[in-house]
Amino acid sequence: MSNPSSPIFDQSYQPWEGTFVSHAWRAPVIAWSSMRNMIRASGIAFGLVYGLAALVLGIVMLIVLAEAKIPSEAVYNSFGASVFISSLLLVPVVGGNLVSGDIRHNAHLMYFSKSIYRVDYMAGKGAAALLLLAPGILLPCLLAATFPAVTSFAPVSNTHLVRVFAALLALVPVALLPAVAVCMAISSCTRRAWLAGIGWFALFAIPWVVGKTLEGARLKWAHLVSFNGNVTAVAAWILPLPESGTSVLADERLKYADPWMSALILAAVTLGSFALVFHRIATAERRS
Amino acid sequence: MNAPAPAPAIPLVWFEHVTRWYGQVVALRDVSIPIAGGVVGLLGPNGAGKTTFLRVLTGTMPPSQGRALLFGLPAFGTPDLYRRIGYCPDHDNFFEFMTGREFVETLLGVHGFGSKDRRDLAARALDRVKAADFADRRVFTYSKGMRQRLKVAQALAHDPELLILDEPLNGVDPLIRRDIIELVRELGREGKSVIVSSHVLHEVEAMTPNIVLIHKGRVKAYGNVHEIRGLIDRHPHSIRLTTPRARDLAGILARQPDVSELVIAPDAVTIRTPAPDRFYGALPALILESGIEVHELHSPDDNLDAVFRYLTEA
Repeated sequence: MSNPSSPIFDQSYQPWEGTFVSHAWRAPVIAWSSMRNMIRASGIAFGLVYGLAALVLGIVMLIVLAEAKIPSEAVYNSFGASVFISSLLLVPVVGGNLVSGDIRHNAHLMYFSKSIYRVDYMAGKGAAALLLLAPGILLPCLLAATFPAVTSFAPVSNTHLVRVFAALLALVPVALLPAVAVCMAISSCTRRAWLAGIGWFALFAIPWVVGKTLEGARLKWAHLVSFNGNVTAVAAWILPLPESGTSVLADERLKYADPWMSALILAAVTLGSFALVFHRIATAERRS
Repeated sequence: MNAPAPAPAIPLVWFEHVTRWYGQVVALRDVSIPIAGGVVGLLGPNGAGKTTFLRVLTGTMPPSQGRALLFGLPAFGTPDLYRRIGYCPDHDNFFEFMTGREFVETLLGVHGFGSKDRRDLAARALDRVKAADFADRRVFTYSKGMRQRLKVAQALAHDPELLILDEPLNGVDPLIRRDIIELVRELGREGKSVIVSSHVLHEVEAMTPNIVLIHKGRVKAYGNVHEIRGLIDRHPHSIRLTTPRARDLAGILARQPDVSELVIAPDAVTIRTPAPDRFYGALPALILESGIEVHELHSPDDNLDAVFRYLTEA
């Protein structure tokens, strides 16, 4: 019998008897809560909005200026630009707080005293970052693909257009998975989001400058040094060649003769970064 | 035909020679203890190893040596087991941009509850800890007491068999303190098991007579609190009350027969009392009658430390 004078005891309280959803739903729950938190943090929201707006505007201007005629080539051009901008600006804004925010708030204790594995946590965090960043690449590229198809008098088959869109969907994780993984890894090494952002900026910018310098010296492997170079090399091979006419893409494929090396480098960086995050989460969890 | 032997009873918690260290620092030393259930107070001064004990127990940290069993299974690396426990950690940093309701619902989702169940269970738990009124505000606007209620709500929401509360009364005002103590006692009456840590004997005693004494990483004793009551009474008890009207409060407290010493600071009053039970009992009414706002009530653990020194030396 409960004490009626008790201020907080509710006598109707009964044990819950029901079913649980599948374990696979843990990651989406974490992803959704992470996205909501990132969007609500006003600075990040402003950064995202202005970043995306600038990105879309810039890419559309690029397309118009370049007078691209074939969707796959337009996508190739805009993909390189949007990956560059989104990686340089949006990844540190979104990714900086992903894990460091949880370390700062000791959220690992809250998460890992519940019925989840670390893999669920990482999948949720990664999915949140992908969902927030993917539009930054997809939107400009979709515009780039549709713009020449609508305005050009050159015949573009529906099959080609479908293949371009499919390739685009495949390219988003190619560009974003390594970026998100590296940013999560940096973010897991510090409690300060801004430090993680600067870390990513340095990791992205310095190899890019080195790669461009080596490219100037006409070294064939120059693109392997930088993140953007590797992503561009893979993109040149994934996007379908146009059915007729001269092709810029064919020339690009000659330039990046060995895309597998780039793919391997990106995969290795991704796996290594996720391993570091896994380790850092375990350490933070035990020390918080 | 022989009757079958009764199945051995599995203790709720079973620590077998558990040692846990952080680098050179040993936080738990060869702790072996069974906890059968009911409401149990984990008592020890700051730095005694209480939080490490609870972290090992909740599976958020593995023991460096030994075995920690929860419901007969290893506590570390068995996430499905964690649905049967509710953990309220001692820190109160949360996801500041969520509302309290979203916070509880998110953690229920992590446990595997569907969206409708999440809403219902969160609403029920928030009601139970009297947090419904502010549940839709963002967490960064919460006071210490609100955060404490929210922490307890997330631990209770999925109706666990075992509730683990790490210093739930630390720094909260007298009214919230009374609510939380009452809640723990009610849970005990409902047949739930609760392990609650504190460095203040009188807090624990208000919730349960069953205590585990821990000091410098070792379990010194466990059993009924009355056996050490005599010891604690030899040491005057310090209580610090944080308030913007320290002088007014000091004037009221000075008239109380159980206050033996009083120190006034600009934003706090610290008293010493030889009869803490009577003082704690009278305090909520005194504060309500005076209308003075008390933000925080804190008991330094120097008196408890003295008892432990006595026990250790004995």
